[in-house]
Amino acid sequence: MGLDSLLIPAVLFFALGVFARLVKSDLKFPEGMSKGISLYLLMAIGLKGGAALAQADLTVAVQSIFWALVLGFTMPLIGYSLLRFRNRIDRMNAAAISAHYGSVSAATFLTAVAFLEALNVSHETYPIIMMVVMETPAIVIGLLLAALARKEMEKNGDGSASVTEWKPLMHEALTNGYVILLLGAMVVGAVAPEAAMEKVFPFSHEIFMGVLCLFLLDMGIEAARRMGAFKKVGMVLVAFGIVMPMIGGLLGIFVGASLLGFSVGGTLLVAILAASASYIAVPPAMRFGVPEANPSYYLTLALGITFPFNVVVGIPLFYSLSNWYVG
Amino acid sequence: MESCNEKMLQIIGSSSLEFVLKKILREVGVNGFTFFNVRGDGDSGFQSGQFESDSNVLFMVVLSDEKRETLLNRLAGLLKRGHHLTIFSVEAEVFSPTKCD
Repeated sequence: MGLDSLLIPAVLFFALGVFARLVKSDLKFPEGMSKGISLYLLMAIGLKGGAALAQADLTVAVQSIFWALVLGFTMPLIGYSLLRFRNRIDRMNAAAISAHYGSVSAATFLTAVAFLEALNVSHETYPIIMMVVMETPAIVIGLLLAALARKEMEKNGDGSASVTEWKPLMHEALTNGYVILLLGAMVVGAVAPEAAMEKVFPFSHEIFMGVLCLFLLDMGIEAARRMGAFKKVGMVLVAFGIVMPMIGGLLGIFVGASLLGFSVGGTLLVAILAASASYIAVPPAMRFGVPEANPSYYLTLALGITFPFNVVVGIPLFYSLSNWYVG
Repeated sequence: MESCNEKMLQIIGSSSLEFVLKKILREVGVNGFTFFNVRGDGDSGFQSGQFESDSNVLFMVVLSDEKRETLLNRLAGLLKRGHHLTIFSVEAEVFSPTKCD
């Protein structure tokens, strides 16, 4: 797998975004456009996934959901243990950061889909439903870790009387707009007749890759902006932002290939789900539920370190490893 | 034109606090408020406003001295829990009769 694997329009537009920011270009997106593009991408992937899942095997779908939950609950615990090793990072920041690594980045997932399509490699559609399932468990674990940390701090006399407000947080986690849209589009894709779905084909399929390029251009600008905060987060966190996706990717390959029996394409997508860090669903939940943590740490890690690492290194690397492992 | 003297409070916080701040303002009994999405940089890092995760919201509210104290006490509770809020208070000459307590 050489450099040519990176020469797909989506990745090249990401690089263009980074370049534009580094040369201090005035290139920027109008306010709200990124949110609009995110909504389109999730709706399109939901429609595609739903249509495919309508013909899928229910047993494999249930197994996929189960393993997605296992990954969603396990990844934050691994992350928290790494961050707390020798008290490197305080409990609150460790809880908030690790929650991001149990959840997923839809942009990384879609880049991996674009990567597979450019190579003409087919993939299962179950990872799409895994993406939906993995949005929430990490938020719960992050909040639990923070609640335990508060108790511990109070016991030691160095904490405030802060309590975790579970009701609004769980409402936010379970009714997050992106989760609702993705799930809803999947249901629409699954129940709508094939002839009716063909009418929306230009919207959900033909313009998809072009819009993804536009989105990754913006992500490149945003990632480069975050890279400037490297010094602020420190070397320990920068290393974590690279080590954590490696651990997640390897676990994902094992789950995808050995436990779910997916093809190389499907295995890569599970690996990317486990390797990516959320920057949409989890940060608002952590800002509200773990206000003691510093948002610049987890946003810099998710957007400035782990996202570019996965796009440039992770996807081709996990593809090669999936190829080797699946055989 | 008739006017009254009130206080104007500006509160900047994470967008994730929007519904909490609205609830507090209603409970304090303000006559109304204005809010909009804002961008900025500070202790919490750059807030580009591109995603929900890095958006801030600015509330502007005109209220009496008494209600201002009640509101500030409620906001102090949020600050104590670790939420990042920037709060300004200025004297305001108000020309809208409905905004005068």
